[in-house]
Amino acid sequence: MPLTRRELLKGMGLIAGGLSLSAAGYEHLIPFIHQPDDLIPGASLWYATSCRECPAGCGMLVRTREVHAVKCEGNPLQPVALGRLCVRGQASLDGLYDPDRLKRPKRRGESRRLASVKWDDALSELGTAIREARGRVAVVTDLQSGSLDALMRSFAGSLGGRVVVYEPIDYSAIKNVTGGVVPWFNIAGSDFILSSSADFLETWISPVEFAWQFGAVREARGGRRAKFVYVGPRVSATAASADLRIIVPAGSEAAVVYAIASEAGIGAPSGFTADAVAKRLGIDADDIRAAGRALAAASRPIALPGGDAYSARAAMAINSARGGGLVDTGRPHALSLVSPSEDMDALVADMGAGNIDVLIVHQANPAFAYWGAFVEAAKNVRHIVNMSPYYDETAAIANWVLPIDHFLESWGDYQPYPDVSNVMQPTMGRIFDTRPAGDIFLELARRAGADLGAASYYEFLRRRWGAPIALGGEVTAVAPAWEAVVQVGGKWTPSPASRNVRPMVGRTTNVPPAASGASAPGPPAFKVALRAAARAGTPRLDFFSPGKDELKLYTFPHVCFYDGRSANKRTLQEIPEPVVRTVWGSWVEMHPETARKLGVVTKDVVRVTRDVEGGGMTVLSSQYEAPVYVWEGVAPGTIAIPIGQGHTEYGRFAKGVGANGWKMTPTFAQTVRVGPGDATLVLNRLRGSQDQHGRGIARVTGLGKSEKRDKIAMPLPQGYGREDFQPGHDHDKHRWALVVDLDKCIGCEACVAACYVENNVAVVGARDARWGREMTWLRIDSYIDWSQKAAPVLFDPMLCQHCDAAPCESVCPVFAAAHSDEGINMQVYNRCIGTRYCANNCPYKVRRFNWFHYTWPEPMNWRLNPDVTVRDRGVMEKCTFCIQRIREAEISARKEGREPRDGEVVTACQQTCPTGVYTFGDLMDPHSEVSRIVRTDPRAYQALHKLNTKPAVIYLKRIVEEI
Amino acid sequence: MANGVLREIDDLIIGSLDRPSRGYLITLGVCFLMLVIGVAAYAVQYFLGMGVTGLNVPVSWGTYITNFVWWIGIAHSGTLISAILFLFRTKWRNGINRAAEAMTLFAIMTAGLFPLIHLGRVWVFYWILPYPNWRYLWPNFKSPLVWDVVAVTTYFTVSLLFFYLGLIPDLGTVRDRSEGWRKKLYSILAFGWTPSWDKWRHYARGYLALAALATPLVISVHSVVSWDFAMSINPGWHTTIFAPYFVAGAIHSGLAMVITLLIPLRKVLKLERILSLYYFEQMALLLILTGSIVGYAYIVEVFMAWYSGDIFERQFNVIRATGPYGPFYWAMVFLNVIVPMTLFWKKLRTNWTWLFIIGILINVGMWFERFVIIVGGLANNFVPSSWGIYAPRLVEGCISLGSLGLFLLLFLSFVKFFPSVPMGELKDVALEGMEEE
Repeated sequence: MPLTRRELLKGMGLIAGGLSLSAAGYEHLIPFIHQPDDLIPGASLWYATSCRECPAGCGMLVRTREVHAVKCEGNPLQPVALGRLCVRGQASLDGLYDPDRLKRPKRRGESRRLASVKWDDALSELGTAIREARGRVAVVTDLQSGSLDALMRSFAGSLGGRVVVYEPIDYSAIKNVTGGVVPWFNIAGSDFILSSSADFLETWISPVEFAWQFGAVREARGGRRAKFVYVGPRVSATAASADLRIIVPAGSEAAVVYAIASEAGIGAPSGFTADAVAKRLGIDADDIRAAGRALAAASRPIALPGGDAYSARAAMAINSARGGGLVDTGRPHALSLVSPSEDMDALVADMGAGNIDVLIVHQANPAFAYWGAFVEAAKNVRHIVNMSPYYDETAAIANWVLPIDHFLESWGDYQPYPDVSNVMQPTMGRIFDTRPAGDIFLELARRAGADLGAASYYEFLRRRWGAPIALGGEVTAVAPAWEAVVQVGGKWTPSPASRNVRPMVGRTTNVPPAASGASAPGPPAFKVALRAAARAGTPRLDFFSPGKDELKLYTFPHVCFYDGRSANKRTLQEIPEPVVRTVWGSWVEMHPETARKLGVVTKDVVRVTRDVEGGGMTVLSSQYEAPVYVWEGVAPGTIAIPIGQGHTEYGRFAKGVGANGWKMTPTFAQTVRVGPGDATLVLNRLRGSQDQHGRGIARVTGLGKSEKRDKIAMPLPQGYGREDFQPGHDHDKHRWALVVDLDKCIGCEACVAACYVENNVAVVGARDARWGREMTWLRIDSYIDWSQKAAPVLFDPMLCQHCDAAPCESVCPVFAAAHSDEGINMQVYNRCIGTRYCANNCPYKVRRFNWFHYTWPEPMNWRLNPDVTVRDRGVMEKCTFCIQRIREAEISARKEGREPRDGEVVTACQQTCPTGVYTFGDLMDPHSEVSRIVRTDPRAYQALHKLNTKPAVIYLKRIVEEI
Repeated sequence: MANGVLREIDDLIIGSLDRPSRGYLITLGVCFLMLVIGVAAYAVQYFLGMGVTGLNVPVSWGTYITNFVWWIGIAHSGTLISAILFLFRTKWRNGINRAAEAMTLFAIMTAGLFPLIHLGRVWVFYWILPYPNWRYLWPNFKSPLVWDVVAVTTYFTVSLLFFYLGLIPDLGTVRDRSEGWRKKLYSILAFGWTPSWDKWRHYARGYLALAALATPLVISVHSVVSWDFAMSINPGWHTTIFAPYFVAGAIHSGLAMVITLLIPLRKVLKLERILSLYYFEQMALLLILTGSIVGYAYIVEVFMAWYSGDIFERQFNVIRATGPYGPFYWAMVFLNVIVPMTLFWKKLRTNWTWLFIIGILINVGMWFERFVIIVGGLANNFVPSSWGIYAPRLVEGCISLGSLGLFLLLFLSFVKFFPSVPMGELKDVALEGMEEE
């Protein structure tokens, strides 16, 4: 049939119409007009920066793909992190891409409603206000130890105002002893650790650094390793890793520490004998004696001064008596810069008195942590300026809400120790209409009539680093030295503690050697000697023993939320507290004995009330309302509550979740009363039993014991025998396997967060998490058996075991669960029809089903790892052994015409583990580390070996040593 | 006289196909409403995801699979009554076999929906079928789920053929006595049946052959369904007793369902004279037998768990009896084993009310049994940290209700369109009886 002109035109019209309709969905797909030189689609770019999720200052590498940051890892060169990160550092991208981030500057009008303003208007109006304030200006900031700190100080100085460095967790107890210094703790150099209520593996000072140091000293060498005694009111994850826990009522730690010291012959205040203390506190005197003996026998003991002022002083007394220089005040931590709490109290008083006209709050959230008095006093401040990426509680009472760049979008520096200076560089362009905090300070100063001598914060930073750029000129000239410093992420001397610790290098990152040339800013001048604890100031034993029916309050920072600043990250909300396994909310812990006295059981909701008496009447009554969790891990008579939740603002993931523990501050050993609370609150706790029921899933062995080795059913063809129905799999070149060392696991959950971020694991929310639908591919099970004195709590990382005789594979009707020729148990999402039979048949219960269509609200979807499929609803998923990382290593090896080297493939969990629990490698390679461990380590076993599934995850038993 | 009896049978049975009564229509309406609720609930699940159910990890099979097994169990007695009892020349089956067969068909159809409802991605359900495709992708024949598909579809096909073949002579009779569009319909359905000697002979041969073919299927289909569980490694599932245990249970529940359906049916369709107490008493006696087998299976399960010395099996059995599903466990023991034992008393097994109640009780008990097996077996698995609990949610309840609605709707429609009692076979029995006289 010949085509007429009319028909041709009709057809073309149809095609054109169809094309334009179908193109409608792609209007945002705009290619680069000028593609950046270093941007190769599909290739990762890594940027070094510094983690700013807490004051620890871990060096961080941020992996970007197509100009989006997609993963954070520790900087292997930086001596605080050594390549590792904690759970909060891993989840920091959730903060960068928080959908509730402030998107543009706003001001609060007369009607108290927020309205958008232009940056220029906001800055000029505020500049005028500051000029008119004539020195009645104050800056409240979180801890910034580098250039920004200097800038804020010169800002305040030039305007006659003041800077208060406000950190809710301020370690004032330690500073009281040392004279204002938070020293460096060389745990790696010790052979005995006594923690007085210091959760140094979770939140205390510099948890990642302490965790890898801890991992190093706990490595058994020649049947010996460092011993660890924990004294505190609660079995935290840190306490769970100890050899001996002495659980005492909150506020009584000092008495026990003194008793231990006196048993060790160090010489403690009189009256603190093991028997007297034990009798008073209702604990076992033998425990104190045992700890004392161990301390006496130790050659390099270290005491970690957590807890209240008495507890810290007692611990520091041990350090000063026995410390072989392991507590180094000559290497003060940045936390030493935090203003004493009196400064904040004075500021609040001044605010209340109307002496402050402009209050600039930078990153800190005093309305949440300092709470009532601050909010009250703020009413008398004319201009409250909140500078934060988020709309938090302080922003809610501010007149000016100025959104600043997230730390991953910023230039900056941070100096955790005098000899360690991190440089921060933007890892990606800014997402919203935000500005660097430093630029705002400079601009405000300029408009207020003070010139701080730099046109931009970047320029200011460069000048401080001795690599100035031309004043006011284009930022184009790059000093080679500066570039080298930025490239490695800072300048430092290697940590003296890291001698025996291998830096954890992630994937193929070509890191140049540490630069020299540019000089770091000089260390803050601290000249404090470690004073011996003032014996005279120590109260008598009576002081430390609570009354018979007295309830003592113990508040502890949640490992996922620190002081509450990480609560807006939904990944962290869904990661359970390691020991009690709670998610999405707050709770009140108490001992069964206490619960019986109070007549409550787990899940009952109680209201904990703290009354502050003044002049014979209650002047302040604060409350904390949450469901009860009853367990033996808390001292009788102590009520333990976590800090970090209970935000009334701070975005959709934090707002209205749980109760605010800061309302119960000051945090140590307050006497409280407990009454019934709002019964509608629900205890969000993951399900499952913490009793192993004698099934031997997480196992222990004695230190230096040579037991008979457990049988290992190798996930290789030679692992098959007469008892097997099916033949084994042939593997082409590799058979990947993972070794999990239970002895090193401290339950910190860092690997879990790393897995969430690396593998685009969905977050399901409180209700579904409670119902057993959390999507985590890797979970840290914790099993509790109080009859086991040395290790009552066992952490057991559980992930897909990549069985060779996998029960899930044989039951899948469509081959969605299949075996790869490298031994990986694959899940083919496209093929999965959702029968869920594989999940039923998985004895380890590590398979996760997409019950709903889980989403990442804009811009969280930018975080998604482009190398990993995002799973749709209705399909099963699980751990892949980070197959994308295996492929990456294999491809880069092939490019160089070789086989991947042992240790070249690093899974996300392995990469971030601070203590080195995981070892990944190839079982087909007889020389690989995993082969060696499986062949020789007497602690090796397989979970549920009896089922003959031939798991490729080999566990190493936890080492137990009775002290 | 003979003609009179035969005509009466025809009259009575064909009379049941007359214009429906008000009560019938109301019942039909209620069933339709139930179906609509079920479909609406499914629509919710289809568009939102499986999360609207109470399923989770570790319990990722729940009410739907329970319903599937339960309905498959219901489907059992149809073929048992028609095929096996036919081969054994059991006279009492003749009055009820048509209804039982219809029940079988509709129960399989209802059951067959549940694996689909249960699927996470139902839109690609056909990937489980071995169809030729250019990707050379076949289903995994190691998976019991594939066996299941084969077993259930085979059972359905044979049951349908068997049912239809048995229906043909009666369709001929109905055709001869009806008018208008009905006559046309039945003419087509009757395949030109004429009650000639030849045709009867072929019919009898064919029926016998199909009965012989269907008999092993009664055993196989539920054995295969039981292997969905027995082939897995879960404590409480992985036992060799499952096949006979499930088959006995299936027959148990199937018989109970026949009783439950036929007692109201004979009233509604005025078939009291034909569906006499005799048939029900026979079924009641069979219930004692199946109930005993089921009870034996329960005991053996517990004994083997203890005898094996396996820590998982032992703890699982304790948890099952005392844990959150304990009440269901004991309810199932009581309803399936203890209650049928009352039928040892003739007074009780000839009591219509009690028979009806017992039918319902056993059906409830058998649902509990499947629920306890499926959910209980998953809730307390190998790794204690993964232990969980499951409770159905509204959507699952509505879909279950809908399935009951669908089944009853099909069954009620059937009894209005087709003779629910096989006239031919009844007449045969009647004639034999008269000859004996």
